[in-house]
Parts: sequence; C-alpha cells; structure tokens
Amino acid sequence: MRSEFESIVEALSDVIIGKPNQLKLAVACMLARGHLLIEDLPGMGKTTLSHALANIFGLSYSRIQFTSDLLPSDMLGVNVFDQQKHAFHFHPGPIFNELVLADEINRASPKTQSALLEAMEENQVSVDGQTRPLPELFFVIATQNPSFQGGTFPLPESQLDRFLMRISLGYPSWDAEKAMLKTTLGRERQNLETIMTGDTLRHYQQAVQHVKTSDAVLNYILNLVNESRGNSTYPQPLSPRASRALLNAAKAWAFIHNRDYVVPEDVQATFVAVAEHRLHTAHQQNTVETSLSQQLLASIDPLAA
Amino acid sequence: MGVRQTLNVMSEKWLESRIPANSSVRLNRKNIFIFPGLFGFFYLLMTVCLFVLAVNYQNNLLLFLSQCLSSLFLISLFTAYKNFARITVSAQQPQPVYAGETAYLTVKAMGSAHSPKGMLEVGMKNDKNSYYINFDAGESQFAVPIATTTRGKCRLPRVTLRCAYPLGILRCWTHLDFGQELWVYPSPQAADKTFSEHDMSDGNKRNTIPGSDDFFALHPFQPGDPLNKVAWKKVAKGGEWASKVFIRQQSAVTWLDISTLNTDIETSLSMLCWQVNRLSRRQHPFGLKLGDVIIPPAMGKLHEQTCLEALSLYPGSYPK
Amino acid sequence: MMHARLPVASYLPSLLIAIFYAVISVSLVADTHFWILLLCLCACVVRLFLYLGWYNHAPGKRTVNLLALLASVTLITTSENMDVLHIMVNLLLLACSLKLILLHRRRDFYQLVISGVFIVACGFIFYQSLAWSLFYISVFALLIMVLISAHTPAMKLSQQCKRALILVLQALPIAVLLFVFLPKVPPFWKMPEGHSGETGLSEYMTPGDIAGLTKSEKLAFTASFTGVVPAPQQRYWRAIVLEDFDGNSWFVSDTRRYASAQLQHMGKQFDPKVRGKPFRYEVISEPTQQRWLYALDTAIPASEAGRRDIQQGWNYQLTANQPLFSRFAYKVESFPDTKRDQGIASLDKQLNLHVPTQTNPQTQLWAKKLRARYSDNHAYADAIMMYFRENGFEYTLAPSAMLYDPVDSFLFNYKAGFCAHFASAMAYALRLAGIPARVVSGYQGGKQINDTTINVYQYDAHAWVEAWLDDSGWQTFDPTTQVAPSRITAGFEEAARFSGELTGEHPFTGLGHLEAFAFFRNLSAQMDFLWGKWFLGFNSEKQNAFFTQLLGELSPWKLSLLGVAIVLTILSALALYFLPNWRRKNYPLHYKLYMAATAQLYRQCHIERQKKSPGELLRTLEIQLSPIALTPFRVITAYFEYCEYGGPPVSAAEAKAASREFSKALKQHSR
Repeated sequence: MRSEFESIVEALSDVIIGKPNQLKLAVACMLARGHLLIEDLPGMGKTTLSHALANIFGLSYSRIQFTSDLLPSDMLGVNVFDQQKHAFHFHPGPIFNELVLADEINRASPKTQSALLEAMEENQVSVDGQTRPLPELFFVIATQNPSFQGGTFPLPESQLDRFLMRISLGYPSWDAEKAMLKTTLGRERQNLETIMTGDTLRHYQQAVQHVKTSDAVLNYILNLVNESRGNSTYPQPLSPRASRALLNAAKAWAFIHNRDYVVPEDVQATFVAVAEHRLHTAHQQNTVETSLSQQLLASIDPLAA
Repeated sequence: MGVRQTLNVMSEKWLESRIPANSSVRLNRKNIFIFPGLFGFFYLLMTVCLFVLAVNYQNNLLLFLSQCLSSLFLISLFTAYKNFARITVSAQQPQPVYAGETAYLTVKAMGSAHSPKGMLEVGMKNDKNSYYINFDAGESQFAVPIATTTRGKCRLPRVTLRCAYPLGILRCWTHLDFGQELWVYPSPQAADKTFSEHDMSDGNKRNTIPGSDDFFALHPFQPGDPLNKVAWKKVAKGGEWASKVFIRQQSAVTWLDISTLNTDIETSLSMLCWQVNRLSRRQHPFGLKLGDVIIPPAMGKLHEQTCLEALSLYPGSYPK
Repeated sequence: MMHARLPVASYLPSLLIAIFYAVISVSLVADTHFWILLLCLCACVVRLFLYLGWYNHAPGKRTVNLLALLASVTLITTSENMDVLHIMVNLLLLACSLKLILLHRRRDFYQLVISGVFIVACGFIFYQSLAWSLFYISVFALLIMVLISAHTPAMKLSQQCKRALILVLQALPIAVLLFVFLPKVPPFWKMPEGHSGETGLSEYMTPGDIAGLTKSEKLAFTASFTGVVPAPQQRYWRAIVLEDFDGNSWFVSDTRRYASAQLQHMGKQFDPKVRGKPFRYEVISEPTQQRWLYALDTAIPASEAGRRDIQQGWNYQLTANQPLFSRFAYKVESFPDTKRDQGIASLDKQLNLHVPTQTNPQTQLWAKKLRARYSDNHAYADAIMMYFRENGFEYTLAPSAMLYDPVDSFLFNYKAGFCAHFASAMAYALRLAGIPARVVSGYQGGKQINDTTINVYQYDAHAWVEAWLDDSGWQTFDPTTQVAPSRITAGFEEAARFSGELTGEHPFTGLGHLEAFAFFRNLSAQMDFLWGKWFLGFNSEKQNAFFTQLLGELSPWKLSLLGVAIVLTILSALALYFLPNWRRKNYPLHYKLYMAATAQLYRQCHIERQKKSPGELLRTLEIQLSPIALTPFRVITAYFEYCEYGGPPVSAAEAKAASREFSKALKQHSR
C-alpha cells in the first residue's frame, strides 16, 4: 500500500479501532470521487469517522442532522433580508462544505432528500432561482439506521444508486472496544492532524482515473453486471452507473495499493461495498443475512473469457 | 387415464434427471434427442425399396440413387445435429397475469458460435399449438402464450423445441425446464360492496399533519419562531413579520380485510384484487389482512406486487 | 420444422414442387397417357396461380375426389397393354397431380416428395442413356432443393441452392464409395419377362412387322472388341432362332422350349467344340425385357459371370437367366470357323422340316419344279438365291401388306420386300424340298464408332436363313446379298442413304443427320458408350476385376480389410465435415502456462483454483506450497498479470523457465 495511505489508515484506526477494511473503503470512495453511505445502528462511530476523515484531508466539515421537519432551505441556505442594506443576502447552508455529513438521511422527507441528492448529482444548488456551485472537492457521507422505524422514508433504489459505496461499521471487537474504553477521549473529539491536503487529494483523484484497466478486468466487471441482469435471483439488476462505480472503486483500490493497473482482486475487494445496496430493493434493505453480492461474486470466475 | 398419467409422471422424472432446470441452457448431446420422423421412416423405406428394385432390375443408376439417398440420410443426421446443438436457449421470467389472461413466456434461442438455420418450433410440452422462430428471417425469440385459468404460483411446464433442418428426415427435439414460476393473480372483480367505514376512506380525504413539505398558511410572527421560516419577502415589502407554516399531506390508511367479506373465497379474493389495483392506481396507502397474513400499509409498486402475490397464494377452494 | 399447415400465397416450396412435377411429367411423355400429362400440367398451373395470389384457395376436396374417381376409371380401362411399371408410374403421376392441387398440409408435401423420388427412379429405369441420366440426376437435385426450401422458407433462393449443393457434394463421395465397393448382389427373385418395348425383335415375326424397326434409331447394343474387328460381312448377330412356320409368320418353337427345359433339368449342357481363331468382344445390350442375347456365331460366354448368367442354347443362341431390364454387359468369344453340326441333329431336323401345306400353293408348285431340276441340296439352295438375283426383286423398307398367301404374293406378285420376306420365302422353299431350314432374326452390321467399338441400332435388324445341307451342319444363307449387297457390305445407313438399293423411307432425314453434325453424333455415341461401359455396366464381374487390380490376389482377409478401410474413410469424411472447429481456441501463452500450472496443482496437490483470481490464488498458496514450488508459481502468476492486467513486465522466456521449474518442483514435492 502506498505509504501516505498507510499512515492515513493508521491515523483513522486510532479513532475507529479495528475496522481497517472499512476505513480503506472509505478512503477509496473519496479517491474515486464518490459519496459514501454508512448504514449502522446508532453509536457505532459514524459521526466520528466522518469528522476524522474531514480532519485527515483538511476538508471543511459540516453536519446536517436530518429530522422529519427539516426544510430544504435549512440545508441549502436561505436568502436573508438585511434590514440595514434593504437587500437580500444569501446565507449558505451547511451543504456548502467539502465534507458534509447527512446524518440519518432516512428521517427527512422525500422532498429534502431529493434536494440533497440533486446537489450531489449536479455539484450545484439553486436557491430562489439562482444557482450556486458547490466546492470542487465535495463529499457527502450519509448515514441511515438499518432498522425500519415508523416515520422514516427509506431511500428509493434510484437514489441509493448515487452513493458509490455503502459500508457498515458494526460492533468493534472485544479488544478494540476495550482499547476504546481505555482511551481518555470520552466526549471530546480529538482533532486529527491533516495528513493529506485537499490539493493532493485532487491530484490523486486524477491519477486514479489513469490507472490502467485491461480488457480482462473490464470483461470481469461486465460478467458480474450481466449475471445480475440475467439471473432472476437478483431482484434489482446492476445498472451501467453501477458498472462505472465498480470500475472507479477498483481503480481507487488499486491506487491505494500502489499499483498502476487493476487486478480482479481490486474488483472483488470493493464489490460488496459498491454493489450490495444496489442489488437489493428498497424494501429489503434491512435484511443482512442474504448477501447477494457475495453470491454474485462467488458465481463468476475472473478468468472466464 | 391412469396409464397415461403414470407414463407422464415417469417421463417427467426421467426428463428431470436428464435435463435439470436451468434458466439458460446450452443444447448439447445430453439434452438433445434426435430421431427420424415419420417422413424419415418413409424415406428409409423408400431407399430400401429402391435398392431392391435396383438389384432386381440390375440397374446401376437406381443403385447409385439409393446409395445417394442413404448417404444423404447420414449427412443430414450430422447436419441436423450440428445445427441444433450449441444453441443457447433462455427464457425471461414471465410477467404476472390475472387468472384467465394469457401469460407470455419469451423464449430466446441464439447460437453462440454459429448461426442456426431453419425454423425452430416452440411450444409448451403438452400443448398442441406450435409457434415458430424463423432463424433465417433473423428472429431469435418468441413469446409463447400460456393460458391461465386458476390463480396461484405455478411452475411452468417444460418447453419443447423442435427442428427438422435440413431435409425434414431427422428431427431434433428437446424438452427444457427453465425453472420459472408464473404468478397468476386472481382475476379482479369490481366490488360494489363497500368496506366498513373504518377501513376505507375513499382516498380523497386527506389528513394534514405538520410537516415540512408544502406551504400551507401564514401565521403572525411570534418571538421564538425559527428565522428560516419567516416570510422575508413579505417583510421586505414592508409588511408585518409573518411565519410560514408547512404541512405534510398524509392520506388515511385503508385496511383490506378478507374476513369482512361475506362471499366465497374466490370471489372475495377477486374483489380484494380489484381493490388493490384501484388503491395502488390512486397512490393510496393500504394494508392487507388475509387471515394470518398481514401486510402492513405501504405504497408503491413493490407493495402492490406483494399484496397480489399474497392474494394468489391464499389457500382456497381450488387445489393447487 | 415446416409449418403444419402450409401457407398458400407466395409460398415458394409449393411452387417449386409443382415445377418439379411439371418437368418430370413432360420428360415421361412417351411413357404416360397424354391426358395424365395434361392433368399434371393443369395442377401445376393451379399451383402457380395460387402462388401468385390470383386465387385464394384450391378447388374443393369434393371436386378433386370426383376427378380422382373419373381418372382412375379411365386409367384402368386404357392400360391393357402396359406393364406393371408403366401402370404404376401413370397411377403415381395421377395421384400426385391431384395431391398437388390439394396441397395444404406438411404431410401432403412429404408424400409428394416421396412419390417424386419414385418417379425419378422410374425415369432411371426407362431411360439409360447419358443425356437422360444427367437430366434425371438434375431433377433429383431439384427435389433436394425443394426439401431444403421447405425447411428454410425465409432463406434467399441463392442461399438455399448453396445449402443444397453442399449437402449433395458431401453425400456424393460416400455414395461413390458405397457404389464402387459394396458387393453387387444378384437379383433377389426371378423377374417375369415384360412386354417387349415398342421397338425390338420379338419371338413372333411376321415379315412385314420387322420392317417397322428400320424407322428406329435407338441403340440395340454395343460391341467392343479386343483384337480383330470383324468385317461388315461377318457381322451377323444372332438373336432369335425361329423354327416354327404357320404359312405366314415364324415363331420360336414350343417344342424347342420344352426340349431345352428338359435338357436343362437333366443337367445336360450344350458345349460346342470350337475351332479356329475367335473374335473376343464384350456386348453391352440395351434393356429388352427379354432374355435373348446378341452374339456372332459360334458364341461362347467368355467370363465367369457370363457362364453363370448366360445359357447356351442348343440352337447356338445365347440366353440370359434373367430378363434384361437394364443394360447388360457380357463377354463373348465367337469362333466363326466352327462347323455348326453339333447339337441334337434329330431334334433339329424334326423341328425344321415341318411345312404347312394349306397356304401358299404357288410356292409349293414352284418349289417342286425347282427341286425336280436340282436334286443336289447345294444346287437347289443356289438356285433359289439366283431366282432372287435375276428376277428384279426389290429390297424395300416399306413392304406392302401381304395378307393371304404371303409367300406367293411376295415371290410372284410384288417381288419387293424386306429381308424377312426373302428369308421367310427361302426357308419355306428349302423346307418344301425336304431340307431343314429356319429363319434367324437378329442384327446385321453396325456402325463402327471407334477402332474397337461397334454400335448396332434397331434399324440394323435383319433376318436370314440357316439350312442344314447334307452333313455340313447349319449353314447361313442371306438372300439380301442378292438384292441389296450394299446393305451387307456397307451397312444400313450407307445403303439407305447413298446406294439406291433400298427403297422406302429411312430414318436418316432431319437436321441431326447433316454431315456437319456427324462429329457431334459420333462424340455423343462414344460418350454414351463409355457411360454404359463404365457406369451402367459396372457389374460384379467388373467390380471383382477392379478389386483384383487394387489388391492383387483376393482373399477373405483382404476383402474384410478393404471393408474396414471403407468404413474408416466414410467416418473420416463425416468427421471432416462435421467436427466442430478443432482449431481450438488459440490461447495466448500466458493463459496456457497458467492453466497448465493450475492443472498440475490439481493433479499433484489436489488444490483447486475455484474461480479465484491469480493474486488470490497466490495468497492461498503461500501457506500451502513449499518455497521451491512457490517461487516459480509466483513468476507464472506475475507473467499472467503482466499480460492480462498490465502489471510489471515479465519476459516470456522467464515464464517458460518458471513453468518447467514448477512442474519439476511439484513432481518432487507433492504435499
């Protein structure tokens, strides 16, 4: 693995103990310019992770707590009337930051959800008829509770598709939780040192795009995607956006591991994170036992022509 | 009837062991049967007759003709097999239909390494009707109609494919099982009987609850109201400070319950089916109670599908 | 599969099969009733209209059934003098025409195809010349095309032709192999003699009738000589010996038939002692439906098969054991210098002295007078010959009908007749004088088409006299030599066209007989001869000769080896046509090396790859393999990753070396 990323993962591991794979996936997601969806029970460290990521990359950070009465304007910003100047002045909402944590996205009404997703898609917001661009480096880390509670609005499949990866932190191991308890952090949040600047990140993002992908790897990705389309075991076939997502994630993974070419292992390593939330229908998001993406991976041979 | 049924059952078992279910099948020697048809038998008979005639008349031309015919038979055997084998046949899951409607199973036949020729006859195994995929005309699939009468989730019978290319002397055929199931929903029947009032709202009445979707009204500003809810445009025009009030529409939830209907099971299911369709069309959330099966209220295509499937599977008067 | 119910309009296969039937029925115009031919053509026209869409549906079933009934009745009542095969063809053609009108199901189509093949087969039986054979072969190919067209209706016509051609070309070599190497089987049962065709000699000869043969240019037989070719005067081809005379006609004696049967039953063979230098030749006879064979005197069958299939008659005549339904080839040796005094003299004399006395009184008187003058038998015979020579007799091809006392009418009234008249009169006169005499009918002369081959046509038919004078045995007398010597010395065509000695119409008129076409006619005669000799005449004898040439001395072991070789050839031909491209997928080197390595892993260490990617497999192997095997496997994997995914470069030589090392390591340390 590339040395910078090694140190990044190490630093993150201080905060989220014992989940190196998920941390790597999160970093890969950012390298691939994708948005991340974290699905976890409350208290697993979703906020901690987002905050840590923002610190590590030196990104401006904001947190939007999605409630059922959250208005789009609360998120995007509002034109405020300045009584002195007798003019409207735009107060940017919390979305105008480089790393936005959209906490409990499935609590907000569909209208607010779509406002956020639109911003993610177009990298700009329009308030009162005026469009304002979002920062060049713009990430959304959305979180949702896996349990289906009353009064929530699960993200529909088409919107889930917009998140490059979905990870789940889960309970820490015995040792990890013990170590966490031993730290004297408690409620304070330690601010991590910036290891990589935003500029470097941007530079690396471009480099990821140039990672070599051979025909064999493309065929492998296509085989996986086509199997999901042809086989009736998979209720939601993978879209072309999913293929692109798989490719980008694999490239980022290869980059992290200091390679300038993609191998099938890269695709396999990122596949579950990229594909699982796309394969399920919105109704079945909560069933964790059947891992359709594992099944799909197991059924395709990377060397099949 | 008994003998025929037993034969059917035995042949099904044998076919199952020989040609197991698969959504996509590549034809090969394990699942192809090849044998002369009636025409083929007459052809062979004719060849033998010609041979006898040739020998008795001591006519070398006839002899050569009969030898040509037999070698043509041999060549046609291999040509027919080569044409039929290595075709990949697959079928898409058929769309669910209502009882009495015709479902369609789209059978796709494609050659991966070669382009097959001739006409492929496609049909359900015990159905007399046959449909054709004409390879030379560029066709590669056909939607085979399946008549449905009773509701339920039925396993589709085997699909028979036949081809007699090139000379019709030898027939290649196979019986394929795609392992697919067809959902047949009960045929909807318009219910003139209304449901009891606490279950049914006609969907036009809407309850309004406080929410954040739609601008509903203006209230005079009270200190403590969030600033982002202030109607600034009004203030700018020099008016009184007012706060916008938002609401969210919420429809009343309807419950469809089979126990409330007093007709026989099938009619009840048909009426419920009609209701499900109607409510889904109007985007009115509803729940379904079928004895032990309770489907909580929701909205959307998936919910409609789940309810219809539950209705199809409800144990009723018809044996499966 | 064809549609079970055939479409009507614009359905090409229906039209094609209609065309097939039109063509084949027209070709059989000489063998079928004219009204059946018309019916068939009408059916084809109906099909054409249906194809073009001018009518929407064929005539109803009831109409056609009525037509069928009428037609069958007509057929039965008008087919008295047809043999079984001809009646069958007519019936079949009739049924097929009606079916063609009613064609609307797949079943009907198949029935038409099967019947079509039978009719083509009959065509092969009726006509055996090269041109006709080629015609029927192409008609058969058309039938194959029709079948292919029926099963691939949407294919373009040119593509269908291509498919049909490929099928036929694939089938031909196998068929040729079968034809050449499968042993020829003798007929399964004895076939009855058929009616002799419209042309040809018969066992019942009325002098006027045989003249009809001069109008026919059909080939009677071909003789190809090894060695000396006899001069035209020596070419008297014996066919039928007619010993019974009723005053009008000559016919084969029943007593002779009975006696021959008895002798055969007793196992007595006629084995003439021959003398002198023989002519050696092979005769290829056209089908006659009869059993007599043509040969020069004195003929002995000259091959093993000949001795088996041919009987030598006690009257120097050769007969075949089975009637000739197809061209028949047989080898003969003829010893012209042999005295024909063998056989059963008493029987011969008894049969050939019987003379009817009720008719022809003038001749009887004349004969008595002549006999009184010439008591010597030879002188008497010469006198009769002189009578013909010096009394202005004419040789005519169109003799008048002589119904009452025909010999009298001929000798004293008309004085013009065909060779048969002359022979009949002379034989009668000889018998009246107490000299045993008989008429031999056959052919005389023939056209030499190349150095060794003579074609004998129906117009060469001839009749002459054989008489037993004193002790010299049977001697040939030909009165024609006295009247039209050019007929004997130059042949029929010369005599008829150029010599002026023959009167009456001859068949050498018409465009085809211009001198300009002589070359083509000769060429076509030659080709027909070669066709007959090599293909139609390929009997078991020739087959054995071929085998002997191929294998040397024949033995069961060699023959079975040959059989196995043939089967293997056929199988390899099939494999060549049909095995899926055994040009196996040309895998690139890295694939081959990697696959080989994983295969070895499985064989030696029972480690399966199980759909793992190369990197993954390498990781799992790190714990399982020893370093000696692991290092080369790492190189192989690295080479694979280099070629497949673009990893760091590894040279092919390195990879190959690693591969060798790996297999060595595995063999030594299989954990």
